[in-house]
Amino acid sequence: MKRRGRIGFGGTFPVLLLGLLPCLVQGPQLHAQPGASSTSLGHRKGDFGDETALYAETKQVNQFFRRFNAEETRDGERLYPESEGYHDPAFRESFLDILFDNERFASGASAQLKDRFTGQVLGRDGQAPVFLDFHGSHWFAELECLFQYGGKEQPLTIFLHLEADRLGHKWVIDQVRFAPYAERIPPPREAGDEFLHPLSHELDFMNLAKVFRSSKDLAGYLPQGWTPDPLTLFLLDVAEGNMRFRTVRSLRFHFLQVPGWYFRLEDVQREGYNTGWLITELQRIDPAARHAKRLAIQFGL
Amino acid sequence: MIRKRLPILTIQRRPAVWLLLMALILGAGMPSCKSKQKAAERERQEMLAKQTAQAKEDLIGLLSDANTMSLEEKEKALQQIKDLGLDDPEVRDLIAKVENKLAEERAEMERAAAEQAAEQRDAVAKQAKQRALNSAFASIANASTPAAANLKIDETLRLFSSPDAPVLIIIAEVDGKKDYDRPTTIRKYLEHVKDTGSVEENLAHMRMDDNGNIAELELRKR
Amino acid sequence: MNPTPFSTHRSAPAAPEGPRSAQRFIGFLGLFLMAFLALPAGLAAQSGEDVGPERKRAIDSLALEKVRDLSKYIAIVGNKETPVSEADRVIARTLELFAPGSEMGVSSINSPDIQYYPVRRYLERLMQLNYDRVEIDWYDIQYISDLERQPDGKYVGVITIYQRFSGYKQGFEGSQLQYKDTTKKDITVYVERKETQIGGRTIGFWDVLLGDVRVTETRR
Repeated sequence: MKRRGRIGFGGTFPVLLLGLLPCLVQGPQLHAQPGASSTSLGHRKGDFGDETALYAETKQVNQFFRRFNAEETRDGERLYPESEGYHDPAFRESFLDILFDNERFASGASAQLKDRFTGQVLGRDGQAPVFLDFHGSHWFAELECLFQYGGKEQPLTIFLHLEADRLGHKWVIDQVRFAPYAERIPPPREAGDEFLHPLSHELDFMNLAKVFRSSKDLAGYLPQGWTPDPLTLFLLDVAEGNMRFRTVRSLRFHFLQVPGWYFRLEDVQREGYNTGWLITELQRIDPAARHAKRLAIQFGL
Repeated sequence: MIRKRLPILTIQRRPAVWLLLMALILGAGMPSCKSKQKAAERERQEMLAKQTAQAKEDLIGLLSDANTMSLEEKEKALQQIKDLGLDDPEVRDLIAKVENKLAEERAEMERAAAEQAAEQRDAVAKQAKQRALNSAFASIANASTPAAANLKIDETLRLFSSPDAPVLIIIAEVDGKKDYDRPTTIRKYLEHVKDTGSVEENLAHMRMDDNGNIAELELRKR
Repeated sequence: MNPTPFSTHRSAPAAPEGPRSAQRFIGFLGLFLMAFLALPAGLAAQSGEDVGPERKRAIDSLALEKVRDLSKYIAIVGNKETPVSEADRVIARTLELFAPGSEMGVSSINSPDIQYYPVRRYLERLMQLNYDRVEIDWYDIQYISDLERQPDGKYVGVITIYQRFSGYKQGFEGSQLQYKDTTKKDITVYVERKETQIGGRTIGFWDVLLGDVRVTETRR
């Protein structure tokens, strides 16, 4: 468990504030909204002193989307297509800057990668700018849970994605990852001498009797490319009462919506202003390999 | 609308007619001239016929819904026609009809006046209730103890038809369409004021019952 | 040290993004349903219900007021001086704020695993802690998500607030702070357009109910 930071100035304040300033200072001036209180400086005084850190924190995944797309003011007031500043590139740039975990993207190759990503998202490469779409595909959740199974508490990871249904949307479980299943299910392997010859059918597959007598491992008799389905085992275990939910340990999100890129979103809690739902991992990927990347994450490959 | 002149007024205002009448009276006093008497009688009959025709016309005018004379003017005009003492069945019939119509109008006017007076009384009572409510809300919100607040709640509930009288709270008005919060009852609303120690609404409208109690309250979010 | 019913670690899937795309989707869905499935007019009309910016703001502040009510109710229930009959009444009112089956998911710095309590049990537990006085202070910051539509047509949103809970007990030297924590609360809000008959007229109203609440302790 990450410890939540004390609210107020952290030791890393001066460095982090550099990244934060464009948003805190430019944002409200450019995009003051009716009803949104704005102070000329970034600092926000509340009943408990300086609440700037709470304002700066990306408090919900919803806020990550809205900041990424420049669809809200600095104060978190929703911007609509007709509002001034909506999708504004300069405003977006200041937001994008604070949406990265600055401890991981401060310098070197990772900082360069971040710049390239930001450039593409803002459309600096001459292509259309890229916006995240909450209802769009190519992003999913990874939820680490604890379940009571086989007489002890064990971590089990559930993957979920949003799906349209009737009048709205819902999250659906599309896969699980569970170490005991991985141990029990034989991994896919190279083709060997185990096979049923192509005329077995003429003999009512009588050779299958030998297979069942001699081996409990049927992996060699499966189609190429077969992948195990832990979700089905999970459903059976839940239905049979073998699996009992205990709690949620952590949550992260995987995004494959920006063509050619993968990034991971996690809740970062520490001192300072660069906190909340932040990009903690960024990779260039082959645009055609989105599905493969997703499978790799789900199967922990 | 041009007001029709009544026959009697016509006579009074035309000196020529008076002279003619005088002549007729003088003429009648001449015993030697029977033919003149006949002529005078004919004239009288003609005059009567004219008066009758005019009276009918005026009476029909009084029956018309398009007549814009005030009720008092109509009543005066009717009296003047009746004073002529015309012995004509149609005129008598019309007079009866006009009398009925004017009686109805008089009754309606008195009813409206009474209603208006009642409304004024209600408005005064309503304003008093509004003031009482506003001050009750404030005292409940600022009560020093829950017991004091409860006492005030019981007192305030007596202004209402029942503790379950509906309370509607307008949260917004978009394109002329009112949006409300979930409807509540006056008891729950007052308890909410007590629990939260604040009043977030203004009075917008109240509907009274026949006993002058508040049957329904509409509030608007500040 | 007594725990508070409010204490924690971090958030489950937050509710997200916007009316614009929601409307686009709803508009499309409405057209699709009417064109191809010829659904009953009632259902098609329901899908066209619009929550524009102005209405969204009104619903947001209504929802926020329900959240404020909840805090005040919690302070009343947690206060030992509140008579039992009064506390029972306030618990009933608190439950009326919530959709049936709502739970509080609580975790703290010391015990990061989320504990799940039905709202009633959470309030009863608070009563048993028997503080002489409970204070709930609000930070100025709050964040209100977009309203998203669920499959059944209801809207759902999440309001995030920060609060400081202080529980006092009478000690040798007067009222003493017994427990305090600062928590982030992610509160589910369900919004549904409904109609009812009152005094012979039809009243259209927004039924705003609170749902599950995730309580994360941020510091002591």
